Amino acid sequence: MNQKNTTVLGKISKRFQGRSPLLPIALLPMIVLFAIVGVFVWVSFQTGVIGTPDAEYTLQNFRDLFGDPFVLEVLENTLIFATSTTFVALVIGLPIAWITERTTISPKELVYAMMTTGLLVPPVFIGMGWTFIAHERIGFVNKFLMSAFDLNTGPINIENPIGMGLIEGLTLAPLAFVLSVQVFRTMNPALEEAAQTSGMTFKRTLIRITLPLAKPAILAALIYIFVIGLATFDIPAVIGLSSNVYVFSTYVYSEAFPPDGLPEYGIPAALGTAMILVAVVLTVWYVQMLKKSERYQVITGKGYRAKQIPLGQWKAAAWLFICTYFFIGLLLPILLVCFMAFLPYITPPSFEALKLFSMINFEQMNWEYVGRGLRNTVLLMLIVPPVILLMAFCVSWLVVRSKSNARYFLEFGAFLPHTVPKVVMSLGALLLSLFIVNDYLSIYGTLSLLIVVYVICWIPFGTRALNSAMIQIHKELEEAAYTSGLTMIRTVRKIMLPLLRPTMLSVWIWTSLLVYREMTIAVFLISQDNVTLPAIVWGRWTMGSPNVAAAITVLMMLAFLPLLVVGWRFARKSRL
Amino acid sequence: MADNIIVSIKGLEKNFNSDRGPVRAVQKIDLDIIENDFVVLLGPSGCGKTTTLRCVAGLERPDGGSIEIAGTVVDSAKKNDFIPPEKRDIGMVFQSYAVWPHLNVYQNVSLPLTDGSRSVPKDQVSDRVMESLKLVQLDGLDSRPVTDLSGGQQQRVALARAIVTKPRVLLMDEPLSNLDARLREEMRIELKKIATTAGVTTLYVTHDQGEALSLGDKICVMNEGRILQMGTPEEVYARPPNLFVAEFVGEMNFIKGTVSGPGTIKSSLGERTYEFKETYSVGESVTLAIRPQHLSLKAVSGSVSASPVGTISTKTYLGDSVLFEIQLPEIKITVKDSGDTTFAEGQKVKIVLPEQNWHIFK
Ligand SMILES: Nc1ncnc2c1ncn2[C@@H]1O[C@H](COP(=O)(O)OP(=O)(O)OP(=O)(O)O)[C@@H](O)[C@H]1O
Ligand SMILES: [Mg+2]
Repeated sequence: MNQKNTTVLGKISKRFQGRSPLLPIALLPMIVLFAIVGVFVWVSFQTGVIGTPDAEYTLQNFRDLFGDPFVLEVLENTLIFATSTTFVALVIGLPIAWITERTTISPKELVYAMMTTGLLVPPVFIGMGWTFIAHERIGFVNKFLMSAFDLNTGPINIENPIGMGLIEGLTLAPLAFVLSVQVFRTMNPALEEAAQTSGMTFKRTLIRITLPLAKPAILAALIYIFVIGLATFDIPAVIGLSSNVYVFSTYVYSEAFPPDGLPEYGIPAALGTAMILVAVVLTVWYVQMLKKSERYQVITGKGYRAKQIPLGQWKAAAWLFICTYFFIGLLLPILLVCFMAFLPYITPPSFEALKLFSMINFEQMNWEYVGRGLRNTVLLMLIVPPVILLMAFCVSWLVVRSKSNARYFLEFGAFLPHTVPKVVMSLGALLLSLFIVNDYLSIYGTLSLLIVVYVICWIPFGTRALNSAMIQIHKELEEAAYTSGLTMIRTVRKIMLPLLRPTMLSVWIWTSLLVYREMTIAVFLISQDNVTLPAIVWGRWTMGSPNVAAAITVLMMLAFLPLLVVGWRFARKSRL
Repeated sequence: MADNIIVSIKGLEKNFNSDRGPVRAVQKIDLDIIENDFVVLLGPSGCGKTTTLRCVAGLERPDGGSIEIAGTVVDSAKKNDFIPPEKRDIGMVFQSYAVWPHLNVYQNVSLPLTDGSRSVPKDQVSDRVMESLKLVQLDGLDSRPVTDLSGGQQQRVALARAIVTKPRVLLMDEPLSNLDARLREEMRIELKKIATTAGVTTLYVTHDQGEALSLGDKICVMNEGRILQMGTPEEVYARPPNLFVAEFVGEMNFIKGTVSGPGTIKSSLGERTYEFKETYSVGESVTLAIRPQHLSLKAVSGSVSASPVGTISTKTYLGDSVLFEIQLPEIKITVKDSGDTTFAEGQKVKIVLPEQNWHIFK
């Protein structure tokens, strides 16, 4: 970006000679992030009482870590879980993406709507729903099979890494869809037409041209989802913890919050540190794949879409595939959660069960506590998005438009939260607030702590969207305004902001939805005062009141339905 | 040699539905292409050239009419006899080249032979590819990734890929429009040579009249989905049948006038006699047209003459010739004169009007 200093930023940075007023705002989240990760790494090299003179600096944690057969089992589980997650998500998401963009299926809007709903629903809900469906003892499918075939145990078992991966994969299939739908949409149609006029059949063209061209993007989606699979907490926690099936994230959680005894921070910190390294390597690979796939996306001058393959008799099959996914991945689990919300205890769905229907879960609910959760969740949803927008705007502006060398650092720093697993980030924030800054700033247990961590977590989301929006606003659009006699302020108001408005709005809505569905961070960082609704659901669930958890879930869905609808409308435009 | 019609388009129609209602992209086109001819579709942007070409390739289905290639009907709107692109004996070069970015030069050119319907035995593939690459002068670059090639080189890869199967018909959609001016000139000559050497019937789309005149054995001038004229470059240049073709191909002066008697037209050039090829009624408005090179200039002498007198308003030096713009009382006329002329801007001159070379359009 060797641009001349004729743009708004050029003028600003000239005036401030490199001390852009945006820089401190852009740097702030990164400094906090480095502090959090730094503390985490620092703790991983300590034994004894950390942060005190009694602490001893050793490599003992790492030695313990890799010498412990239990940890090795956890690692194995994590790998299996992540692999199965990735597999399921891609096997569902990719074909649907291809069908949507490259065949005559219609209405396409409906497919988009169905798939993006999956992005909005908190994965905890799906995990709960699937527990009601397929838990070895209480799942209704198992109960049905047990009584039908006279079995002692349920034949279906989801409380293992593969089973949990399956469910996690269902919740991530929409993400696989969103990540790959772009490739199929932007692929130069002439590339396939050239294959056709060279005498290649549809099938040959698909194998030799379409799929190889989509490969980098598909691989990128695969890595992206695999990294999520390695670090994710919600579903392994909801399904696996009660059966003592641990993956990386739940292991860290159980060490840091043991049911009895003192919390152990050193070993999970060591494991987390190792995990950051793995994630960084994978993310570098991911970025490379993404770059490669962008090279393949040559968009022709004319706006015509690629030719769409007539589905013919396959139409029914395509819809069946999409609807089956929608049913088992979303509708069925949510229906079950709603069903359980009105029952006093877990009962398989039947007409008998309907007789048990009551509002008891709602009547006996601790409304004061739930109200506090609601208030905190709403506050977070109101505060976090604008803060993210402000900071992301500063970062993107500097990255896209400035010549200063800081932009490389900023670009890297803004991307870093992507690579740090949320459990690591949360535990790091916990350690930082408890052991380092507590003497000056008692932030632990406050809403502010949650705000800080949420903002850092989703800054990459904002910068990514704003980066690509700003790159698309060609510098000449701005210059054309100046040469037409508009002042700088008018240019920003009349040209830049209107052009960026759709992106900013969609970032706003999406981040508030992400806040709404976030459980992991809250579970690590809440106390009585700063509890959020997803954390309350989690609390009830682990304390053995699944029906109450289901009831709160229903409240949560109802309360935020309007926002979900808005998010739905924006889903198509936004790029994740 | 008997005229062997290889592509026959009859009554071709194609409509598109756009946001602003239906677009009649092609309206009843008839076109016969004779074996080994190089036929150019020439017309302004949006006149339906690409659509016609894509119908011949089978990438679009027509709404009316039929297309035959080498005697077989490949598509007709009435009957269900569509032959898909991959089964047609064609090669196509796209405007955006469409070289496959994940394959190298050799793989791009060999894929039609290994995976296409016109595949050849394995042991012949490499010979055929090399032959093709040699024809487009890319031999030696066969293991390069195509993304590392220049625009002109990618263009050659696309061409080699299109001719490697030795198709009966080669279709090209503005293949030179993405190249810079110099390269375009070079490739133009090259293209013609390659098409002749390969002995392939070519249908070539362009909106550049210079390209059309220098490349085509036949030129088809199109506008708004119709063919206005089909003929050799000489015919098209010398005998445009209507105002549109006259305006689109080559430089032309247009002067409005009215028929004032048998063989005479009154215009801002005065009342003069012209050679009428059609009959006009007195009082009818017509447009006179003449090419700048058919006019010449003379110094104003004392004697009174019928030639109009004007002032040179601009003089554009073109090397071998000079373009003058002459301001007459009512109109401007462009005159092309030889390069050694001594007339200068601001000078008063007489325009010498010839007897021949006038076109009269209604
Ligand atoms: N897929 C399509 N959908 C809608 N309209 C189309 C489509 N393809 C072509 N058209 C319209 O049909 C008309 C003819 O288009 P075509 O591409 O054949 O023009 P062209 O002569 O090749 O022009 P150019 O020189 O700009 O390439 C235009 O008005 C165009 O807008
Ligand atoms: Mg065209």
